[in-house]
Amino acid sequence: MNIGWHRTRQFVPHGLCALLLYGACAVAAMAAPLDLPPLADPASGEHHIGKMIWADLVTPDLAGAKRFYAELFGWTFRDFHSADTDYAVALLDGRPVAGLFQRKIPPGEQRQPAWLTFLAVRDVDAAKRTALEHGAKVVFEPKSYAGRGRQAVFADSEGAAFAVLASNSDDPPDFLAAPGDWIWSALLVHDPDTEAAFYQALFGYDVFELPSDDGLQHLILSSDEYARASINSLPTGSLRRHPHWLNFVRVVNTVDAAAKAVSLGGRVLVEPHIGRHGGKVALVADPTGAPFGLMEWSDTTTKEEPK
Amino acid sequence: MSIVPLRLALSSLGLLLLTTLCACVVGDGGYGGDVGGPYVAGYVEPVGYVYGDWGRGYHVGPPRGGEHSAPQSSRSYRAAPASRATPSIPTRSRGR
Repeated sequence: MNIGWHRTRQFVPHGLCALLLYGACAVAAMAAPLDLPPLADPASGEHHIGKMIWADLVTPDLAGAKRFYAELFGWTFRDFHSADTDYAVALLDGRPVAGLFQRKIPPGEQRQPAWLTFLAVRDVDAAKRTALEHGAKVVFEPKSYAGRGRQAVFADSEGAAFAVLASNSDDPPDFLAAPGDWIWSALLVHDPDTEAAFYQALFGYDVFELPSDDGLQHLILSSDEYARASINSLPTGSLRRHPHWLNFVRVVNTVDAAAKAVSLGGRVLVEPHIGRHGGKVALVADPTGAPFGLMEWSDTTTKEEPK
Repeated sequence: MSIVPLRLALSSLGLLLLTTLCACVVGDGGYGGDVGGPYVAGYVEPVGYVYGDWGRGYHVGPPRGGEHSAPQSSRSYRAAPASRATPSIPTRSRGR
């Protein structure tokens, strides 16, 4: 009896220690901030306001998305976990190019996965004030992540969602995108004129209007003497369109890449065709329906007239 | 009862309380108290809309430079002057 009681008295404190230590570790893990990698390593020393510098995919199937994009673009992944977050950073030749964020979409929530476009700013909170003054809404309030920087998500006056990011490591330098990297962004809206004024107020873009044969307005937004994105009138012919950003990945061969996307479970939304720059462009969706573009770009491409 | 496990238990309890307190009181880190925690940029689009489905004459890609339309005063934005050529994307390759 005495021996049993003695053992119990010894066991209880040890068990309690283990429990409390476990609890302390669990709370510490939950409290630990999500330490995301810097966009540029080492820091570039460059700032390119208005440049598309990041993209996040929200997906209900993180493992499936990683397989799809790894096969299609050769991306590798580095996983980040916190109490409420499963996030994978996609790497191209060791450089971070995109983030994949696991989120289950409840059946009753009428939403579908999408790529979110991140545009560079110096001051996220100032950008928020300007965006609100010009009719935008805040989708996600400004928030900072160690390593990456500070970011927020807005919806412009037509409801197209985009994010702003003030990178802790400055912005990625202005190089021609390698195959597998983002090369272009396009905004499709009802009223390009008003939207251009909004984005110009936010990012200070220069705005160029391109000649148009289709009767629709096509604008180019530029900063630092580089074209950063286009704003286009939504195509006519369907009421089931809504304003949105689209991002394009550079590929060596658009036809082959589109076929590969299909073989991996994706689908083609716009068949490969010659774009205004002379290379082929296509629009595809990944297996969960998230749309993105494929685009060839060659220094030696002879500009063909778009057909 | 040995004094060592008791001290360890009390130390662990103190650590738990301290960590919990730190988790609740997030330092501002110069950012106004909205630092770390779960990732919140999880934007998803509404369903039921059409993406793409446009004709071959519809172009959303970048230009290779060149002329642009003359600025019109009726525009809401400040148009770039006609004397400037439309810029293209960066063409300098990495490592050059």
